[in-house]
Amino acid sequence: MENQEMLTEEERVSAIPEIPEIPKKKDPSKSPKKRWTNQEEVMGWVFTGIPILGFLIFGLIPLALSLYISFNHFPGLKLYEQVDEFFPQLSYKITFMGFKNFGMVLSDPAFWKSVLNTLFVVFTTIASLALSIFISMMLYHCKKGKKFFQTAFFIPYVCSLVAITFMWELIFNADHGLLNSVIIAFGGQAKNWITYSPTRFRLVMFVVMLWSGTGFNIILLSAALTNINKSCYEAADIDGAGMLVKFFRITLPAISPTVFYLLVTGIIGALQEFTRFQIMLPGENSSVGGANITVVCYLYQKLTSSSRLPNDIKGIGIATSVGWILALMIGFVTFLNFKISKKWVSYDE
Amino acid sequence: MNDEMIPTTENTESAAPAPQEKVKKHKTVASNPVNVTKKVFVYFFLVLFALWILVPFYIVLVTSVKTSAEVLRPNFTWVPTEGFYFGGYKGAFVPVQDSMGMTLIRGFLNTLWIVIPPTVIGLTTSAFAAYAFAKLKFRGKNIIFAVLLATMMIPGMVSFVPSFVIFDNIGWNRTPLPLMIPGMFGAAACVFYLRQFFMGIPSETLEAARLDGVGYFGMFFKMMLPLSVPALIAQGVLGFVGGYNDYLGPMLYVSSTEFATLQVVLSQFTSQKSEQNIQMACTVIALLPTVVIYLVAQRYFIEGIAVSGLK
Repeated sequence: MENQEMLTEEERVSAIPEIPEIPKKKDPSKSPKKRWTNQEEVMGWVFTGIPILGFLIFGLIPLALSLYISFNHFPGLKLYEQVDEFFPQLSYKITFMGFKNFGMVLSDPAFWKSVLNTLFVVFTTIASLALSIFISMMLYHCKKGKKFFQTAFFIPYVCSLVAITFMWELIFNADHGLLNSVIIAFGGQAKNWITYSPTRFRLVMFVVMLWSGTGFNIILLSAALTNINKSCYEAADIDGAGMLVKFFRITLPAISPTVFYLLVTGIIGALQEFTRFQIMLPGENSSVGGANITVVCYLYQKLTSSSRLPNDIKGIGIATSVGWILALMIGFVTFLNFKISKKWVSYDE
Repeated sequence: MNDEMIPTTENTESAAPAPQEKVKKHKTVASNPVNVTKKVFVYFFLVLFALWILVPFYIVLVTSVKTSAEVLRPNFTWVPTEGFYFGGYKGAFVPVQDSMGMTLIRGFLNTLWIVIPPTVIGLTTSAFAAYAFAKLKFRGKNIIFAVLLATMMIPGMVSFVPSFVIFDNIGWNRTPLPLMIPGMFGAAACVFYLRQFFMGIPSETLEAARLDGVGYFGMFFKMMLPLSVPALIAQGVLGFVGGYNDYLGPMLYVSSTEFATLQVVLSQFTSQKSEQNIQMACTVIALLPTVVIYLVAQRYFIEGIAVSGLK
């Protein structure tokens, strides 16, 4: 803020020589215009300064601090040391770790398992996008009841993930779930879906995420589809192009920027998945072989546990390192996405 | 609500597509059988997908009005066989164990208290910034805009832990402040959306007002805001729903405090192993506000998402 005030003075001084030139041409009322210009600058800085200030306080300071935290070991959440003279074992000591925190995370099998689980979420996101494209196409060709379908398809997006997960937990419940009672009705055997094996747990999560992931995609894809120039299809019809040809040659290229946008944001979101896994099966669970721990769940575990020993993989130092590794992963995947996009996204419209 | 949705689905399934097919068949079967097949194909998948989306809601709803004994039976029934029983909803008002006597209702009020002020204030600050970016001329505008753009690129997870540490060190942990204060400074995405909207308002109108001696605040409140009510509603509603459904933040900062939000209280039902009808009644109560807001303000939702999503 102070910087901006100082700038104001500077700008004011530097602004003066320009003034005789501009009003000559444009504005007959010279002096009020000039007064306004200065006020406009101040107002502009004040108005836009508030979000910037918020970013500095709640974005940049934590970002800078994260470097410090990730290179050290803290026995708790305090950022300063405390020495207890009588009971030295009770004193709060910060240990410099260098890159050891990162090394410990990267050599932890549990971390790599969480990465694998998170990649599974990414895969689900892509599957959900493919389904969304299909349903949007159907919606595009639908005349009557389109409004109803659109309304219905979007509802999951506004629902809380906690509630959604409860809902599916009820369906997959081993003792009195809907799925098992349907299986029994058809003469099958009731199964333990959620806490039996990693594969079954993943299947359950696949269904949950597929169900809740399509709403947002369908809205954007529908908007993109309605923007396609209809004459393209007519021309293709004249040429006798089939449905698949039309889809891959006209529709997909036309909506490819939207698909790309959804893919990038979807993958970024998927890499930060937490709520649905945490609610469906919280904490370590041996029955599913740790398939319920995503990277953010792993981070959360490290954040909410602590140890006095620097070599334990616990505490905020480790959690921050995980945060950085995750951010780098997100950056890398997004970079890769943009690289690959040149091959299939067409912006020529 | 869901009650109404489900019969409609079934109606569409049984009534709507069928007569259409018939009518179309009469009219066009000779001229274009491909169209009929296409229509059947399209509606088949749309109805299937609608069922896939809506049936889970119905299951939750019907479970919430069953008795606890019926819920525990292994065979699921589509209608409550022992009559409608609203004990589940009564259970939602009973405190959850190991959560400081929190009830779902208290959690709901906490959520409103934690979400609404930051949404309103954040929307205001975002609108001011968007107004400046769209309509004011000042030095460094493009640089500031680029900085704001850059803030959106940084993944939240990097600053998640350090923010938690900072808030803990200044005594904000276990209070709702970390969930409220940052949002009040406005959100970059919201600034972008509103800026785009404001740019559509003709500058001539503002210029005329300016010559009449209307100040910047006057212009903002008397001209920009009234003209951009739909955009503001869109962003406000999206912000509210996002805050209402947030789980990670409240879980970290206010779980096991008296400020626990609805989502946190709801999640504590799993560890507590309460009866399923109570759980589902709570789920219905938790889902209802956002779904109702969505159905009422649907237009704004779709607009808000379609515009801010496509940039």
